[in-house]
Amino acid sequence: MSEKIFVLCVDDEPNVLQSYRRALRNEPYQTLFAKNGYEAIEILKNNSIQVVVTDFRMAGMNGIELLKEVKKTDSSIICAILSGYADEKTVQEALAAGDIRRFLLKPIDNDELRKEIKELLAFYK
Amino acid sequence: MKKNKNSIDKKTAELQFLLSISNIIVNDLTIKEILLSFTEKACELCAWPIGRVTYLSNTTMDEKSFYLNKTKNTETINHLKKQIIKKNPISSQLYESVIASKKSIFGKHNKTKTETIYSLVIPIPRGDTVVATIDLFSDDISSFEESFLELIDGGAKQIEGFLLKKEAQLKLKKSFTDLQSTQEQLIQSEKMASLGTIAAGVAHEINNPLSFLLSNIESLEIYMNTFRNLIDLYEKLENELPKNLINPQTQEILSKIENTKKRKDVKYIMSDYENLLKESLIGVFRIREIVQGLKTFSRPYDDKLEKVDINECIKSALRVLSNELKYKCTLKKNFSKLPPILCNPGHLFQVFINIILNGIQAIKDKGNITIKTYTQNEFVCISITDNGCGISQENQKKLFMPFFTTKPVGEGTGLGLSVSYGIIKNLKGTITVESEKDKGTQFLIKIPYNL
Repeated sequence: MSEKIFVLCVDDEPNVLQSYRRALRNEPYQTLFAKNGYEAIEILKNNSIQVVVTDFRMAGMNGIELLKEVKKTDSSIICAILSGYADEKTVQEALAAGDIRRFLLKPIDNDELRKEIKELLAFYK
Repeated sequence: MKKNKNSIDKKTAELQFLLSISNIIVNDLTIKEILLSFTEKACELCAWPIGRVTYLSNTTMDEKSFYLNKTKNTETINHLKKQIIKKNPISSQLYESVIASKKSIFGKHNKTKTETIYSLVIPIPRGDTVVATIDLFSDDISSFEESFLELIDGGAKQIEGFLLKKEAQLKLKKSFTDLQSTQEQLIQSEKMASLGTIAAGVAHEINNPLSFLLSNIESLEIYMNTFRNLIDLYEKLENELPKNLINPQTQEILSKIENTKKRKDVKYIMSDYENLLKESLIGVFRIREIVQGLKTFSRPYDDKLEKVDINECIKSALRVLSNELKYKCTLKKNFSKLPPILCNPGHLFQVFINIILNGIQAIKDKGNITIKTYTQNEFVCISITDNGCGISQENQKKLFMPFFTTKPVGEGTGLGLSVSYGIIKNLKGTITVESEKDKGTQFLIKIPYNL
């Protein structure tokens, strides 16, 4: 039995998560959702996640802080940020701070989102 | 007795001269007008027909440099003027002595055996230098007195004092206007800066809802397509349902279906929903564009700096706009070789697109777009001129304000020029506009190249 593939999406806006849920409904992987960094870390403990896509600006723990925690848990997880707004400086900091494969900008259309996640999964070995 | 009368006439003339000098000073005249008035008074004192003002900083002459004494014979005046213009009888040595001594010098010049021209060169001093000379000419010195020289030099001294005052006044006036425009610029950049901060926040806040709006409209389209397929299949079933299968229950359902279709105009809905979704997406993309515009506007542009050849940058903007240009505009290019500018080429490209596109849109049927590049005082200058409809004085003031647009809703975001303003300002440059209604508009961009 082949192991299930899990993608974790993190965003503090429930409507954004819902829209991802719809967009990724028929994709050949399981998608899990967390509405903040702490919830995401809980999910990571109980599931074997391959890709994490997180918002950048979130209350409590921001995207970069979360991804650092993710890497601590399992360094093989592929990480990406999908943010509503980022200046060049933030992007550079994020890319320098951790092993982040993609810095995507909202709004992103569904085809684009599916394509990006597919490519992120391809990085996972 | 005759001698006495002459001496009284002389004294009266001298007194009149002194009085008229103080009158010049009372009047609110320009420097040029003052010197010409002084020339007039000196001519009147000597009873000479013609005088001329020569600025030592700018020796070009025009009609306004001459004073012609109307009380004298017109023929004499015209003859003398012709002679003077043909060849100045006063030698450069004479001028040099006048300038060195700062005193008027009388001269006699034999044109031919029978014709003599007399001259009087009056220096107008200012501090240690001489700013102008006033040259008087005559062919007749019968009423000229040696003592006039001292009097005239005294007058010139008074004029000097007045010129100094006038210059100080002009300087003060200029400082005041400079101060005013600096203040205006300051207010403008202050406004832009605070808007930049707001823009960053707004962009972020809008992008989140925009994100799920875009995603959901796309998902909805897929849902709707599924429904359409399903309805097509149901209709097929409806049409091909064998009569023997229709019983009172199914008949009731079929009637209800028929009813609903009619009542809710399902035919229309099915033909319309695709357009509805498409239009909604256009709305989303338009918002996305505005927000992206705001982001450029609010961000400092220190990233991805390159040495950019402005001419090349303009050329690539023109290539992008070639479609817009080709039917409406005759393009005139006058490019000079320019030093490279350290900047983000993408941003500068955006500025040129914005301004040239504005020019094209200002032209109704056919017109010209003229683009000139040159260097001036360590600035690269780009002038973009159209002969389109022009911009009213009132709108010129608001031109660089964000969201100001004269275009119909949906055709312009009103961000193009304010973004351009921010980009050029970031390069320590300036962007100014000059426009006349129905004549056209000129945008002048200046960017320093030695930073």
